[in-house]
Amino acid sequence: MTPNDIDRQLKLIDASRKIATIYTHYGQILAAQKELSSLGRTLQAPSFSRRAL
Amino acid sequence: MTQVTPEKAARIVVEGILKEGGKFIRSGERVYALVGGKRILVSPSFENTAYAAIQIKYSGVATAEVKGRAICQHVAVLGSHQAAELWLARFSALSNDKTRLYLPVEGGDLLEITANGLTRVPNGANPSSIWLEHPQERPFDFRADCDVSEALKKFEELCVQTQACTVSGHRWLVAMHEGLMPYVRDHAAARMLFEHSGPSQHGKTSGAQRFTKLHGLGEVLGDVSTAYLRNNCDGIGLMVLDNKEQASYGQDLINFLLFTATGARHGRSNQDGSAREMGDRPIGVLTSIEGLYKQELQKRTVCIPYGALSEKHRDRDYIEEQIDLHRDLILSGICHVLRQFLAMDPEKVQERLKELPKSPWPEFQGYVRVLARLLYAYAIERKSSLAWADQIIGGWFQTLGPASVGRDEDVIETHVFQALELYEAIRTKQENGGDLSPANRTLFNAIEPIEDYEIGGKHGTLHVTSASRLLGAMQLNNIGLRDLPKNASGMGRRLDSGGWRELCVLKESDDKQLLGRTSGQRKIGIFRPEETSTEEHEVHSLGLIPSAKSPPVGELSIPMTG
Repeated sequence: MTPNDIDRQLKLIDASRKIATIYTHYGQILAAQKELSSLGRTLQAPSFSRRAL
Repeated sequence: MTQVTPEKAARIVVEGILKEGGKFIRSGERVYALVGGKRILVSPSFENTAYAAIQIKYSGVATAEVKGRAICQHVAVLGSHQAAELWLARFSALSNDKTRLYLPVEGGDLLEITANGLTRVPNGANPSSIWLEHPQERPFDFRADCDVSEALKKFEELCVQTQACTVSGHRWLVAMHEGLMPYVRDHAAARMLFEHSGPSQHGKTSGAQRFTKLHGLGEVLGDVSTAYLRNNCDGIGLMVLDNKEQASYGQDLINFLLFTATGARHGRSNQDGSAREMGDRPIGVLTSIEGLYKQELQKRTVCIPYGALSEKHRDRDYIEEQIDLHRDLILSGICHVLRQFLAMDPEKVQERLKELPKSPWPEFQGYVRVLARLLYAYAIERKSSLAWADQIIGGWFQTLGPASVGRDEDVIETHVFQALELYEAIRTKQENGGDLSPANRTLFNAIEPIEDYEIGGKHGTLHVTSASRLLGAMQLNNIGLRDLPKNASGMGRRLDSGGWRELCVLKESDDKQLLGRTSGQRKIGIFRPEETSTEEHEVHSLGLIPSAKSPPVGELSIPMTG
């Protein structure tokens, strides 16, 4: 994994955290949970670092 | 020991408690034994292990046994005969004549603060007959030899400057209300509620939690029922209710908040018909994105806009750790401010306030006077001039009056702001290879961002969309569902009504090129200015904070001691 990939991962984490927080504020706990699990799947996917931007 | 009668065994227990230096007190119908700085209820309840341990120690009979219950009842009767009437309080207590303030300190003693000084006194054995406890059993360790300037500097660095208020002078209002007012809350009968208001992740909750941590109260209260508040917020000093959005306000919660603001007796019945009353009212703080909607609550609430969270104050955990670490030092310094507060003449404070702009809260004059008196006392201890405090207080009156009015109209702006925040996060996610959910994709497709847009001398991003697409995307993402208009024309009218605080809605007439009608779609642009407020900019433009150099000590304060 390159430094660029790590940078992208950090940006993704930040974005997902923000999305989940906004959903939580509006009482959508399930949607927030889904957002975080989808983030987990994305970060663990072997294809992530190779994915074309 | 088991051969003796219950009455004799009870005498042995009572003598044992007294020999240990303990004593008995009565509060209402209950009898307590005060042993080793702890207040222990004399009751045979199975869960009351503290009393059971004492009884077993002196009589050898557990309270779960039939004979043990009889011994316990005899102890309660014997104890009540010699019990002193003490006033039980938590967090802090003020004597009836308001000249002595008590705070619980580490080691089981109390710190008695008067205009003349700070003295350690035994709990219960003080002139005001007060037995005082910290609500979380976390009293601070008072440092008699603390450097007050250093303590106050730490307080400012960790609790005041870290508040993400959009107007820097409001930080001091928050600090006085949430940091110092809880200790002297009984000085004001009618109290104001504070609301930290602003978008999510902009420092509202962490700002309030800095004070709950400082007071040793732990975290702010999240999802709690009104019944819980009624049963547990008696004597906590400061009550912070997090994320109280409009849907959370049932009549019960509204009534409870009105009680914390205005007082009056607040009672409920237990199942057995006996009365259960709240004897104390905490200082109240709410955090919210949408703001309050009930007029009776609005009238008693000061809304502090949050949103200027600087990069260096983002690490919430580190700041809270530092507060925990320096808690004893900071609170020891604050005790000196409280001494100064008691030494001040309220009449002189009133005279100073008359010279300032008119307070926007005429029905809370008493409360404003106490807040101002706290800041004047603070100014003296930090070796700043009283004019420094005047400037800050004048700033509160000028900037907070109009902001608290007409909150109903701002709800849609808040939701649209949240939708734009969500859009930005989705965009970042999309640009970095993340998968978008269908709801996310709808919002992503509904908005076309135009970066570096300029209008009226302000730079920012214009979000081009249409009322129907924006409404659809917000509904799909459940943003502000309760408040949103039901159809696109209603949404269009709400957007047209304008007058928002931060966002600005542009129509075709404002920019024909970008917002010209295409294929029957009426476009609108939502302009979001760039965040401009750096700390320095605010400080100088608003003139609320003095220059870095404090005036020399000789130029200080007009003495305000009474």
